[in-house]
Amino acid sequence: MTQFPETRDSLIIQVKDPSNRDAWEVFADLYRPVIHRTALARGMQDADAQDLAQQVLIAVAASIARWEKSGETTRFRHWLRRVARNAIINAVSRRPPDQATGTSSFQDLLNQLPERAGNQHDVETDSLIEMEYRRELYLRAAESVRTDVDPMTWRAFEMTVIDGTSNADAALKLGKSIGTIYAARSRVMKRLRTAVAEIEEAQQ
Amino acid sequence: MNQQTCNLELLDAFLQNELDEIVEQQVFRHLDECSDCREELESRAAEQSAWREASDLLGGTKVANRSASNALNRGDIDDSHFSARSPQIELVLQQLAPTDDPESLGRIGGYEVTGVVGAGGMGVVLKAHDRSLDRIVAVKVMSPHLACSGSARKRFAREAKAAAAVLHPNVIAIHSVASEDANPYLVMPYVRGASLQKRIDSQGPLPLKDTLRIAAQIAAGLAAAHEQGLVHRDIKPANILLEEGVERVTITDFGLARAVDDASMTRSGVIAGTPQYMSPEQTRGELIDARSDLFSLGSVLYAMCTGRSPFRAETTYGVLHRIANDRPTPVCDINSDVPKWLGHIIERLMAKRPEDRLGSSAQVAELLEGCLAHVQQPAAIPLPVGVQALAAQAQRRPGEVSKPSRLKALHQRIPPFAKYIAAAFSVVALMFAGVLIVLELEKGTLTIKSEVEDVPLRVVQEEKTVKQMTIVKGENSIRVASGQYVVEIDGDVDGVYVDNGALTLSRGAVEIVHIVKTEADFDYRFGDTGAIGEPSEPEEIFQADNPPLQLSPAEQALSELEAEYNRLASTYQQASEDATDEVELNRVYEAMDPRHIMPSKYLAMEEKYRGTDEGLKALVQVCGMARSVGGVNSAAGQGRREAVTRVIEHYLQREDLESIIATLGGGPFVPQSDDLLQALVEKSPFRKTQAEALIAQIIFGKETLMVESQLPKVLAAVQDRMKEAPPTLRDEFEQRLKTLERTDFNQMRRDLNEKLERLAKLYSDVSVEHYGTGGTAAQRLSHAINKVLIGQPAPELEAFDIDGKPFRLSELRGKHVVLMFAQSVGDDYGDMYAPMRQLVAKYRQAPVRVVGIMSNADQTHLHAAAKRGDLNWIVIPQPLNGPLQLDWGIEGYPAVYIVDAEGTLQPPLHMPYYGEGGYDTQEIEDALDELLKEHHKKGAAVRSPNNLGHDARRRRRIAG
Repeated sequence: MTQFPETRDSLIIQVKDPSNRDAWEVFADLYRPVIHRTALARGMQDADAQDLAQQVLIAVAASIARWEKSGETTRFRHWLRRVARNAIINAVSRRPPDQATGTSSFQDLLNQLPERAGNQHDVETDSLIEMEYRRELYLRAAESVRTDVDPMTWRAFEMTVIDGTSNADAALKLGKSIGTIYAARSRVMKRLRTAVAEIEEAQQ
Repeated sequence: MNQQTCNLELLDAFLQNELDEIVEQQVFRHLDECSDCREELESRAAEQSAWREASDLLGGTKVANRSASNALNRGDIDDSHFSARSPQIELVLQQLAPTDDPESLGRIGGYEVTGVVGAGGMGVVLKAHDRSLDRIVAVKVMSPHLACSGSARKRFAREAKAAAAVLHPNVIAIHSVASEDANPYLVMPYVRGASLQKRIDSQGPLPLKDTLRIAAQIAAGLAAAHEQGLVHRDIKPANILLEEGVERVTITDFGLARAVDDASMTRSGVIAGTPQYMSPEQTRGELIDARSDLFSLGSVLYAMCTGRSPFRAETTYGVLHRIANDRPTPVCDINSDVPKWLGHIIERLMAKRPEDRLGSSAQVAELLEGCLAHVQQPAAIPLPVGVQALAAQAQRRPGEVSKPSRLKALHQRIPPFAKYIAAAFSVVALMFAGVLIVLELEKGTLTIKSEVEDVPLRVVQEEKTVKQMTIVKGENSIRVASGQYVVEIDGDVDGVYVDNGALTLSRGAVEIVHIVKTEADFDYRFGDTGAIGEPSEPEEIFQADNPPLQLSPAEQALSELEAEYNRLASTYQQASEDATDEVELNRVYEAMDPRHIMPSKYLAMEEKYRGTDEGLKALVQVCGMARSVGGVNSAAGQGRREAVTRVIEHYLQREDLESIIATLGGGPFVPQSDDLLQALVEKSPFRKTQAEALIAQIIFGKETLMVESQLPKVLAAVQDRMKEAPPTLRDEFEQRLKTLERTDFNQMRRDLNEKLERLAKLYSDVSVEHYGTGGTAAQRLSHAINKVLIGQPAPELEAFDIDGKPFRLSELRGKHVVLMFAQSVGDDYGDMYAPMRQLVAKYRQAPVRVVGIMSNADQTHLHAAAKRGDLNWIVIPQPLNGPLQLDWGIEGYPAVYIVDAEGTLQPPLHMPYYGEGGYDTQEIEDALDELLKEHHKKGAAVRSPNNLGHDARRRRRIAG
């Protein structure tokens, strides 16, 4: 498995300056969908998941200065993952206030809260975030590669790699030879791999 | 290119559309014919894992979930909890090699995977068929997210190999270890059955016989491991397997816990996962030895007796806090079927201090087996003698009440005599505890693992030695301030070297350094290090006759003293356990305590090696002994005085002496504490040391000033304690009483202000540990000393609340204002919300306002909570630059001040945290009730805020 990339230092420094909107957009743009999808996979409603993504990003923006000041050597991505994980676990294990009717004693409240921060839960959330980050890299890369190659070539890749059609079936459906299908999907894959590496690189 | 021949050279250019058209067409045609080249083309386009990722990730969750649920449906899953959605399992399954066996989910090494057993912190456990030996095995595959980490992999391999060396029926066997694989894995026997956790979950408390049998077997398994110097570190019910149909218990996950910790330990020092069965020393990141497993065993016993773990709290931090401070409800109170003697055993296993726990795992196993025999045949076999003695001791243990109290938590860390003194000054003592907690947070844990016994090491930072020590075989942990360090061997020691000695330690993080034996240790003549052409370090060149480790004479002397101390300590421990009556126990306390016996020897050693690092270390040790054993005139106390005198006389020129202030100094009642600080201020050549000592003086002074407003209360408490204290301590109390009564607080305040001026004038630019610079420290401490005066008008507090609205304390005049200062220790004060909401609700009709000055570490949570409507009090987020509580001199616990309706500041209160019981607001409620009663009695008329005589009235009330 490829190492998760570091967040580029210069990017953090730029984000630290609240007036630098562009840099912040680049950063948020990349991480927002990662947090959003992770929250969805953890069973949150779409609106709540979007909200959560917003909250996490606000927390990141507010804490970067403090994080840097504390002389952390933790990798920024790990730290972000930690922030995201805390926010998600906190969000999914707490009830909204409108549900908290009837029983109001502290003990009742406790009894109704699930045991938080279970190991399994954490590890799963970690892996989820990891996976969703990789997915984001691939989605972005795919977007740029698609506009770069001719539609048939992309279609061959899409059918055989993403949709799970066999190469022979794809050749038949697209009316191309088998070699052409292989060539097409390999060429796209090659570009995709390069594009993923580039996005990763840009985030280092 | 000929259509019939493969020309692999062309494929790369072909992939990148770099061939001219004619050649390209040839390649196209060739690809139609040649499946080898098609495959080659694909593998040149991207590696297999990228193809798989593209397929899984671009297809959306649909694709990923489909493959995982297919895989899981085909296997036999023993645990429905690990649903198809577990990405961890999914990732592992995706990475299995393809197989042609239709029954198999995939292949790993020579094993056909037939199912998923479960998933844990470390990885995923698969059920597999070992084709070569035709047996069913369990294959534990390291989680992909851990497998990325090189150090986690190394540790996985090292620890798995160590665990494999433990051969015992109650310890899971390790068939093989594959650490070089993309995902490292280890192969173990497949045990059919459930974990103890599941048994407890489904059944609740276990029958007594089962409890004893299981615990005895765990202890026996641990004994085998401990004999090899291996500590499990993660004994918990989920790691205990109960074999189906056989009365056999198997401990799993041996020694693997560490690797998980490293990978998931995060910047805030919070341990991911459930730490419920950790030992107190583990939660503090201190040195861990076999006795830590004994504590965990006690917790497991507790869970078997009661059906639940002993320390439960809503957050991980809460659990850690409880483990360190709380005494769990005795098992017999929860389950009356549990015999008293078993309760005593559990209490002893779960003693906060490792040295207070039962001897060794082997002894515990023997003891529990004896108990089991007794339970099975009560008439024929008596309870083991050791257990009877435990019961006798438990009965005469003084001062142990079951009501949770902060004082009690304090007592548990303090041996019998000091307890009497500490209790009377708990207000002061707690303040100091707070300081230590805060300082501790700036640190990280450096763990040094050694394959060899007694290696002298030094930890160097910027060419300065910050720590010297002799480490033992196994694991050694120290807490040091975050920063960059180099760990090196101190002196010439052959046959060992430091692996990755240079490291950067972050706040709250754990770094591991390994002391490794050179290969040649085993057979230097065939020194395979050279033979296979590996670079051979100078340290690896080995002498035929291995000389003993080279210690300097001073080091030698110090380590001998340490060994002697440890020997005496264990004899003392044993004797106090064996003591059968009060007289005997007192005799043991007085005559055998190493803390009274050893100071003179350490002092003699220092005299001989004066000026060395070891000499200073010996003096610090002596002071440490006195700190925990009380009594100015005791041998320990006298030793301390002498030690401090010698530090002043002989070691003042040293740098970094401020780092030992916490041990040497210690507040108003520690003899010579101020002499030392004064000497440091005046004579240390280092400005940082001067400044830190000056700050320590001011803080200690401030703590004493705090006593002023509560003098009658404190005096009464001391007098109370005196009645209970043993005769030898009466004088001590008398002296303290006199010291307190004689203290001229006004003079003291003037002195402190002079010191503050000095601090501001001379050290404004000096960087200090806690406040940033001396200048800031002066400002803040001045506010705390001159403005925060009990019984006087409270200082103004101006801030912005969470909605951005300006807040002024003085505008709340006419109401009793509860100021709740929450420190930024944890990330989340979530579990404070409910008790505070209740407090607010209780006094809704009364003239009371609650103001929370909340942590700056969790503003997201804070805003979210406010949005949810969780916060019905006034919330002031701590400003990012400098927590407000430093201005009020608050350095520990969440502390509470009440400003009464007239604007007068009331004595500080605590809002202690009891984990499961949440934060306790009782003290606040009592104080409010009292105020409201008074308020009511006098009518609701508005009074002048500067009511003369107010102070005196308040004092009377406190005294009463």
